[in-house]
Amino acid sequence: MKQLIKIAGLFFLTVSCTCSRRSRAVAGVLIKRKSVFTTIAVILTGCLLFSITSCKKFLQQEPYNRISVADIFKDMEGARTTLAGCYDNLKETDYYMRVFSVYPEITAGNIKYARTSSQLLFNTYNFLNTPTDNELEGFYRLAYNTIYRANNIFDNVNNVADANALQKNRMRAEAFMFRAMAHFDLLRVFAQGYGYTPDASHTGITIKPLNTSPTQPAAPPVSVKTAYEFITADLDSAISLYGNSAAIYTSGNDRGWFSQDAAKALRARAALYRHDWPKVISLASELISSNKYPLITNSAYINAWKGKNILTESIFELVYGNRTGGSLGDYYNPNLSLTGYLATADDLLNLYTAADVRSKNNLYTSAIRNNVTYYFTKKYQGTSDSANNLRLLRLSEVYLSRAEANAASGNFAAALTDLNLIRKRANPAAPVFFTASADTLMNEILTERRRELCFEGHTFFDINRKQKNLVRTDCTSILCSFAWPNDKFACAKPVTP
Amino acid sequence: MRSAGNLRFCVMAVIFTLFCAAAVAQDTRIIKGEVLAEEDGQLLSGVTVLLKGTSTAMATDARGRFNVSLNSSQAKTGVLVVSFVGYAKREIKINSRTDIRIVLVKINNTLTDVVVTNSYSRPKRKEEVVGSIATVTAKELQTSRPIESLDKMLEGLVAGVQVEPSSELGTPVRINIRGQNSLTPLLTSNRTALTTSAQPLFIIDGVPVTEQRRGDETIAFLNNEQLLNPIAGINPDDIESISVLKDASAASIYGANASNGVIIITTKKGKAGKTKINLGYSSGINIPFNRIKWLDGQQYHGLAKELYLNEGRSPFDAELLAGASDINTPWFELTNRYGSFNNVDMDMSGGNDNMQYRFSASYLGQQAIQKGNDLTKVYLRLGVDNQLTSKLRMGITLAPTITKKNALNVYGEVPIVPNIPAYNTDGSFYQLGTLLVPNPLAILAQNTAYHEGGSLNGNINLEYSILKNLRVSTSFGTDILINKLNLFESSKNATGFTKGGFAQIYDRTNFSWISFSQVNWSPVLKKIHQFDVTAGIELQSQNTKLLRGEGSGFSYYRLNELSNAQSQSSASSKQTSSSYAVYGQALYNYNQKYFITLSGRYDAASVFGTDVNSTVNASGGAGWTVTKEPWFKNNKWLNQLRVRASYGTTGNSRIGSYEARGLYEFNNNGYNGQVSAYPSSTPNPNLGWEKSTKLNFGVDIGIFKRINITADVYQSTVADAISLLNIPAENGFPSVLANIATMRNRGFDFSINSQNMTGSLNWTTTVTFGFNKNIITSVKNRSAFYSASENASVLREGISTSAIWGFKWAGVNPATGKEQFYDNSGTIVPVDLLDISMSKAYYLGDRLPKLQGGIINNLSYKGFSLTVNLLYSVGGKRLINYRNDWNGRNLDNRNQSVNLLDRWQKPGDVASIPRLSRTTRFVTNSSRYLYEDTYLKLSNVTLNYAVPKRYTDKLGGIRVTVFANGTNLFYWYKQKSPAGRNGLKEYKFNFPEAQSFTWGIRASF
Repeated sequence: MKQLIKIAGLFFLTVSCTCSRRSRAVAGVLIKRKSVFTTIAVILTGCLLFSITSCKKFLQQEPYNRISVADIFKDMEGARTTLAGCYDNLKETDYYMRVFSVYPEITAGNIKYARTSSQLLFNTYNFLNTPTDNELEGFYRLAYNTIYRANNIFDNVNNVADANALQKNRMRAEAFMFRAMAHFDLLRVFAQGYGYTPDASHTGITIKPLNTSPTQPAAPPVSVKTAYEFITADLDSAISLYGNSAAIYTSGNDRGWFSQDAAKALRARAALYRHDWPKVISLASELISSNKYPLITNSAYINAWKGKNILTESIFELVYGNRTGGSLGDYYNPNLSLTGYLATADDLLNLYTAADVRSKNNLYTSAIRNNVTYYFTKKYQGTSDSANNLRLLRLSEVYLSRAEANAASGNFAAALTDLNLIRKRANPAAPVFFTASADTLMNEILTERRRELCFEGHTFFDINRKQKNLVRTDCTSILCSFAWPNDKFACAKPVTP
Repeated sequence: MRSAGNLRFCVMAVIFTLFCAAAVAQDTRIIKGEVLAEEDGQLLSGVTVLLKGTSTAMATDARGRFNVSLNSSQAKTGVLVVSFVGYAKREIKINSRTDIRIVLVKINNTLTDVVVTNSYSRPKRKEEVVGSIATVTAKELQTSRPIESLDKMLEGLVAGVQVEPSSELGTPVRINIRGQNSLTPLLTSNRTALTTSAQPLFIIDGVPVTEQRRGDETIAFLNNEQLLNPIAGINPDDIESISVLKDASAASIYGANASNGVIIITTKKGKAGKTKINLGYSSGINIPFNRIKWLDGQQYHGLAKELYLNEGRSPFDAELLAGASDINTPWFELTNRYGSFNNVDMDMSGGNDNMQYRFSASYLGQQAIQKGNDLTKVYLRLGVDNQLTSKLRMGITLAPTITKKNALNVYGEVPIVPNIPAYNTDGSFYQLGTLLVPNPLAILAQNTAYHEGGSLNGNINLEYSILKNLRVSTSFGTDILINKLNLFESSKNATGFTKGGFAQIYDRTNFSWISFSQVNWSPVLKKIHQFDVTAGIELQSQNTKLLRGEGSGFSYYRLNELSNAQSQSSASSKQTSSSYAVYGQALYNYNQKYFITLSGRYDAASVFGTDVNSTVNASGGAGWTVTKEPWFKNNKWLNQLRVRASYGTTGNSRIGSYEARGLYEFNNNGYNGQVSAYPSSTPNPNLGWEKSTKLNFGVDIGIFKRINITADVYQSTVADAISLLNIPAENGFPSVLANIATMRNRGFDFSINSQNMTGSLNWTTTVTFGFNKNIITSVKNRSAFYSASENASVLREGISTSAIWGFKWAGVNPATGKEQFYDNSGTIVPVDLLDISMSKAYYLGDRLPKLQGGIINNLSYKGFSLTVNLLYSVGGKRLINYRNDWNGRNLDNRNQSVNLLDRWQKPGDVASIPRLSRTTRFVTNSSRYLYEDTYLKLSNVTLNYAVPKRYTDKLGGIRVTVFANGTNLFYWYKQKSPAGRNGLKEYKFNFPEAQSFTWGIRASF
């Protein structure tokens, strides 16, 4: 019945098109002249006029299942979902959820496989990625997709009708964060370190300051120097915009969203990578002295990593919410026979003393596979599942970065203080570390970084930027070790077929 | 009505008797008779009956009867010459008969035939048509065949129209008019429809049929809906004629949707006169035909054992794993049957000068040979034409259809192993192993795949004649489809076991309407300048709503409604599109000798990018009837010669509703408690219409007034063909829909119609022939997209869009028993070393034939008429389902083709099948599975017998026709199947092929 009414309605609509008020009035005048031809011509012209004016609306069909870009940015409730969508991207398996997080671990020798077939990132483990056959291709796409999402926000944020200037600033600040982070992550994987050439003029990555027409060819990669300038500029913008912004999200844990402090922490990391020591020291000091992120205590250390806890020292965590399964932790979970096979290499385990809270017997679980005992990190130990938060920015890293910057700038005392803070936190009984040698100090800081930040996506990048040789001994790769410099420190960029 | 007719009959009879008496007195004879049409037994009025050599002539009356008074010698030796427009002239010797029944046979494809050229203007005489239009009448369509939809019936009847054969009931059928004019859709994981529709535009009485397509739902919708054939909403018995518009001149009035050609279906209308009633019944059986030969239990056991031994198992284990050797369950027989076909139809038509009507009702019940697959349809159609005033005419058509269809997939793709029993000893269904592979009998008994729906096609039109030659008209039509698909997988068998029973319900509503208003002016100036000008505007809108409900964990296995499921979920989707057009057509002819047709259409649609959402298509054509020139008159043998040429453009906009937009989709899980959205497509404001430019040259020749030849050469260039374009990863997306390719179809259509014999034995032959060559002339993508699911299709420059892309098989290595392939450089490499990246593959062949057509013979003698349809196809290739013959890969839980018996066993064996193994690498798009689909098929034989009047007269003037029909009777394949093994003949259709035999009776009052 409803359909019938609809049909009838539509019929009248069509008739009314033919007899729309405007054309009828004109037609009325002309009918008096009894010129049949003219009348018809007028009716048709009237219809045409009607159509040109009203049919524009008739032809505007908005989708029901999805929403157009222009439409979603009309209000705050829509606009902020696009930002949440950027966080979603970081949680993809090709990004922090798996590939990107495992990449610097498996290449650096922190991980060995506890099974012999179908291993994750196997070609990467063997340094066999090529432009056309590349296990990092998914990551490459996702990182640029994240940039695309962020740029969409820049393009449309001014159209959000119900957002005030402060909220718009927050949206821009977040978009800057994503754009910087994705570019930075790309640069870490696909380019040599900053010091590879004296002026960092070696090839970096393609940067995308704005979205281009999808069919346009990609711009050529810029130098590493230019790329870092772009990234740090974005992060500086983010820091200043956060300082003049207002909250936009209505839910969730604060540390699950980027913040000004997260921007500072990432900016400090970028400064460390580009050897900007004063910047590292000043930002790290700001974060440390804010006292907002107290280091986890020794006694709380192991349990703090469990599940969806927010670490006291976390500045930003990629939070899991209610989602279960399908997480990075699945690969480090010895109880999962299908996925839990990323075991710890002895190279790493041997770096700890037994009393260290992070040592083999403390922060690792053992499991026997094919009569061999393997150790799995507890950094992703779950409570009921292994869907842990990913702790992307935390204060221990900030301390170690400051230590490194101080050591590089000749401030040994300050460097040793920070280094020992982290050392003693892990093992209060450990003797205080002291050296007068710059090299020894720097090496110890690097080793401590590996001990503290392993499985959090740092080690291989640290080796690369510090121009160290890669040495993997507990290793089954066809290429376990190679000296710096080597092309293999930068992963081959995938090429779009 | 009946009683009035009887009264009239009585009065006539009385007058007749008196008249006869008078005639006898004057020694003259009264000869009376009737003239009827051979195709439907209807009496023909207005037929000219002439006594040869005299001026005595008369016309049949409204009831098709005539009488003439002759002297006795004329009555003995006289000859009656009977002629009527569109029918073959007959000369009948009187031979002292006084009551003569004359059957006239329709002449096919003559230039005097009337052709429906489009839904906007009145039918034209064929002579006036400049474009390439092929018409099929109801008789030529042979609607009594047991074929459920008219698109399948078109196979072989029209030159240049290829129907891709399908053995399943009621599923969409692919039709290619002059080749494929859209790129083959290449399915990828998250995009479903990547190209424009490759189907022609179907228009039923002015209302376009909405094609069911997937693609616009969100990814979260997870659409597993089975689609129905959109054309199945029309009863073949209701069809008056089908016009196939092939070139630009014919089709460009449909502008942006006419690129793949247009098929115009015109339904029968009531005629003024006595009420006519037709009743028909037909019934038949479907028999399995060209079945695949599967391994029997013992053979299967032997091969399975060998497979396990090859894998290094001990003989004891292998024997154990291979299962029983003494069980042979004939699964094919258990899951197939002799299907049935039942059709009952009636129609009633009549009216007076002011009002004519026709009503028809029909029931179709068809069982496929595979159990669990059947189709029931009820069609109703009412058409009323009413002359409201002397100037205003109104027509209304309403055609509801009800469809019920079962479509259970019994096997997956390949049958279950033969050496297990069908039932346990307690009578329950035997389940194989750990419930991985379902027992097909359990599926049949416990699962559901049931469509239930209806469609409504209707329209109303008004026509007002302002002057004699000037008319305005408006029309409004709708096409509505409602379908509910119930899928249920029971927890009692492997399909739904792990989910505790699983049900899905899809509820689809398509609603579309079209409305056009136009003016038509058709003056004749100075008697030699004939014009016919039409101009109008049209609005169209379509919307599709889809609702999916899903449930699993059913509390009680026999209650399948979703409310009984422990976990339930639902999803819905809606999409709309609208378009607006201004169209016009101008026809001019000078003295019926020179013809010019100009058409054009402006389209604007919601579908495309904002920058390019409107387009203009136009065409022009000219024709010249050479034989009408005075200098050509009186040629003995060449009675018709006409040449035609046309050039113009058409478009294709059927791409889905919002493809040009940048769209965000929501992720309901969200992040950190906040709903999140992600861009699911990037905007491409430049996405525009595909445009095809068509050039056509044609000639129509009539020889000896018996042979009619129509031949056309054409070229169609599709520019801006739409497909996915790879874009640089740095742009943030892997691909975007864009206008990326150009493609060309070139070919030649030819049809010949010959009246081989006329007279009491009438024999006509029609041969159709279509040759087409497709080539993709350019593609913007740097590498080719490939899709295994669409017959290993690829989008690649220099080859056809229907190309099959794969690897050349080099047989089995006698030493190792492994398959070998030719690599790029032509050297033979073992399968494990083959580089199977798609850039290294070869062009293996074309899915579509080079040339194809039909040969239709029609013989009639007295009341008998015999129609024989032969179809042929040359040069197409077919990639068969490799799972039938999979090197033992799924031999542990599925049966395999008997071809597997020829496997390699030991070094030195020269075998056609490699060593049985489940782990050896396998190439699906291998030329090993490619067959040349060159065949000749006896697709249909129909024998009709019109029961002579003298038998039926006592029944009150009923005309009775009985007929018998066989379809799919015989195949000849160029590529023969090896003895005792399977070849193309058996492998061609996955769904078992059937042969049908039907008989029927038709009565007309």
